[in-house]
Amino acid sequence: MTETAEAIVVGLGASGGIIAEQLTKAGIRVLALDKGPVHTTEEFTFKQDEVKYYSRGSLVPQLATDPVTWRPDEKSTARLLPWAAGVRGNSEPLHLPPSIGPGGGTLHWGGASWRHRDSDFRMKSLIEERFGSDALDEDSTMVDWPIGYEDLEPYYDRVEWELGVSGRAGNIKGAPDPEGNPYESPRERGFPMPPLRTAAADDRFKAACQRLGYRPFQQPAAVASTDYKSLKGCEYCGFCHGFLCHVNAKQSSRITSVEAALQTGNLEIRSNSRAFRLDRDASGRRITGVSYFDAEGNVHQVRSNLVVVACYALENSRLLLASGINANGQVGRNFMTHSFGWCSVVLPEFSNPFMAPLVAASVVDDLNCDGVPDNNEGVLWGSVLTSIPGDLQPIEAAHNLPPGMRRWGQGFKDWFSENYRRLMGIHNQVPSFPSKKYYCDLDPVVKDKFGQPALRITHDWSEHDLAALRYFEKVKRAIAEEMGATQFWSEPTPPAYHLSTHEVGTHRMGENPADSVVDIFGESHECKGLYVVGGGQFPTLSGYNPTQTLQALAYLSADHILEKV
Amino acid sequence: MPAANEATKVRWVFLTETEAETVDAVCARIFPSGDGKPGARETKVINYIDRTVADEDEALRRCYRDGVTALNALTSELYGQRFAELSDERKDQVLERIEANSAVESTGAPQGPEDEGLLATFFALVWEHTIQGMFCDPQYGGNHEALGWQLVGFPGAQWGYNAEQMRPGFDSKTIPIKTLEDLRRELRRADD
Ligand SMILES: Cc1cc2nc3c(=O)[nH]c(=O)nc-3n(C[C@H](O)[C@H](O)[C@H](O)COP(=O)(O)OP(=O)(O)OC[C@H]3O[C@@H](n4cnc5c(N)ncnc54)[C@H](O)[C@@H]3O)c2cc1C
Ligand code: SF4
Repeated sequence: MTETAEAIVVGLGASGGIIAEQLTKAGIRVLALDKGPVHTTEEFTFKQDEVKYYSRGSLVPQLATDPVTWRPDEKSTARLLPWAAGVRGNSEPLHLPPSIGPGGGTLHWGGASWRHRDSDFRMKSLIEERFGSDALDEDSTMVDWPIGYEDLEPYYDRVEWELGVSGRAGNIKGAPDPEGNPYESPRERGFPMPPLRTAAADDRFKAACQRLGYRPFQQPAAVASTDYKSLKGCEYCGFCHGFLCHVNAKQSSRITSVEAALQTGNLEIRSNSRAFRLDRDASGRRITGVSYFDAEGNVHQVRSNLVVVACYALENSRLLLASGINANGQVGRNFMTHSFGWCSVVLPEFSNPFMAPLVAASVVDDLNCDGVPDNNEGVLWGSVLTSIPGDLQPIEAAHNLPPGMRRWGQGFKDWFSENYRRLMGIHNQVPSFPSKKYYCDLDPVVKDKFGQPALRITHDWSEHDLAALRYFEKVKRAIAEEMGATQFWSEPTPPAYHLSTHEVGTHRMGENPADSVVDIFGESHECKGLYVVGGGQFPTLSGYNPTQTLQALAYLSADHILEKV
Repeated sequence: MPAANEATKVRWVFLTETEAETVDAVCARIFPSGDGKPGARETKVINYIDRTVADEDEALRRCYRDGVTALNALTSELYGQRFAELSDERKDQVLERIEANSAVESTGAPQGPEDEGLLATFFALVWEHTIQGMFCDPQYGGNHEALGWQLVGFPGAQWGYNAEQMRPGFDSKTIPIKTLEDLRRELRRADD
């Protein structure tokens, strides 16, 4: 007899955890499937291990078991992600899909926790108003969001107060606070925790930015600065981004929403359980359940008329495509990601970059979104500029050396032993724009070991990405000079990788079923009872990191589901 | 070429004596010794590599096996000696020559000694593993006595840092280095 569940949540990461919590608290019995393992307490306690988590990428899906392919354009043959494949092993764990297992990407994320600005929801209109209706190229598929900042504000508030975010507000109900973000859209109230202590080099960054006329403030962080609800105050161990947190300071759905859901007694978690098909009734218009492989590869089928798919933007679209749920051809379209601009700086004094979380840092938001100044370089939309004074271990640091320097020999040894302790980073991220040219589909050749087709990404950096990277490189160089840096360089741009872990857009939300995949609540237009949630819903990507917005959307979806049942 | 004998089996988990000798010679050009500060030899990077190769998959093992053969074939052809027998200057010239071809990457079967794709991949792999062997937790067999961490001033596996330590300019070499084993021991002691 086929098993039946009241509701199934596939994927217990950032968004799946929230929905599981809300449903179970309302008395619904939820079966959660997650393809990753349940990480043990011992793994969390002794996570100060760069080889395991950085070099060997033990938290992230490996290409051998979870193949993803990429090609720059339709003329090329897609290959396993070339920046992560090969015998050198997993030297790019940060450019594969996020960590797996209950907690998902929030197990090893950095915790930069942002609300979008009001303008982010109207990117297309604002760009066209300002730069003309032909500013976006002819392949553009950009649209405004079907909802606005004010619709999400109460849900952003829930993320901050229910899950825990530290920071300093800059605009409570229109009243400015110069210590906070002067550019944020109005919020109902501040953060439940004060900002974190900053890492050493941040002082210099902040002072230099102020001298240059910027208005730096502290990064809002999904890292607890004090004990708060299920979170404990951060210990500043520095094995943070890419690692598990041994004190539960990092806001991970594993210890927030998933734990709360377990406490209701209504959540059953099946780990190492990989969904491979979303099952529908004969009409194809109603969900009937999920088929999955257990760890041994046995096939199981669970029936349910409420299924929430929260497997990250990439796997969400792969599952829809593999299940044939794509009548309007929109699934996988509009792939977007950030092109990262990482710069490194050597400081005259010790910066000790191995201390503190990535987000114990200041941010300059003056040039983000529509705040990017008029320019002749063709930059239409801006980016945050973040100081990265911490969270850098030696192996990772050795992978980012000044260009042109020989990476071995006495000169390298001298340079590295002298300068590792003086490093810091400055980062920005340019949102790519949706285009007909950039999409995901099923790879016609490559399959995983269960015979399921791999996801294929077709993406290249656009003229706009390159222009914006150049523009921000100059800004960062000026800041580094003002800081008194003795050396400054940028990672090669554009990046060799096309996964920033901020992939969005692949199952766009919209009101019109003809040109979008889900509605604003994440429900499939094509197949009722099926919710597909996460960054895949975003019509456009912001200069900010995406997670707080997809968490807010998950609360919105949960409210809607509960109204209907 | 010295043949593998009983003694080498005890010493290396996976590598043959020739492989160990050759790889060690490459590592020692990446992080050299001789300036009074620890390099790849003192931190026992070759131990790390031996264990890693033993644990990892066949593609990686083959890259080491074929890479060593190709490198020694190349230096025999150029200078009539194995790589490890060359002077440091010559070793560096050979590695520079390989690196100049590093645009070509290959994991396929060797195409003879001049297979530059294979050698480039091999050198990139040894580089990667040398960095890991220098700065890994000592439980992996490299970073012997945390010498790699001492070299760069990294305090290793710590539970956390306080405000004083997080001040600009703080000398991190004053913080006692800890390894994962130290952390385990602390918790065991706390349990007692
Ligand atoms: C190193 C790193 C740092 C990051 N830092 C930041 C940051 O500072 N700020 C920020 O905003 N964002 C950050 N992100 C991005 C953030 O992790 C993601 O935006 C977020 O986790 C996405 O949430 P999600 O719910 O869509 O998916 P996820 O959190 O990725 O969860 C997906 C879940 O689905 C499971 N799953 C996948 N496929 C299947 C399947 N077929 N069957 C069953 N289960 C499946 C996975 O195991 C996982 O648990 C970072 C990501 C990485 C990798
Ligand atoms: S730096 Fe803080 S939040 Fe990050 S892992 Fe360490 S204790 Fe946890």
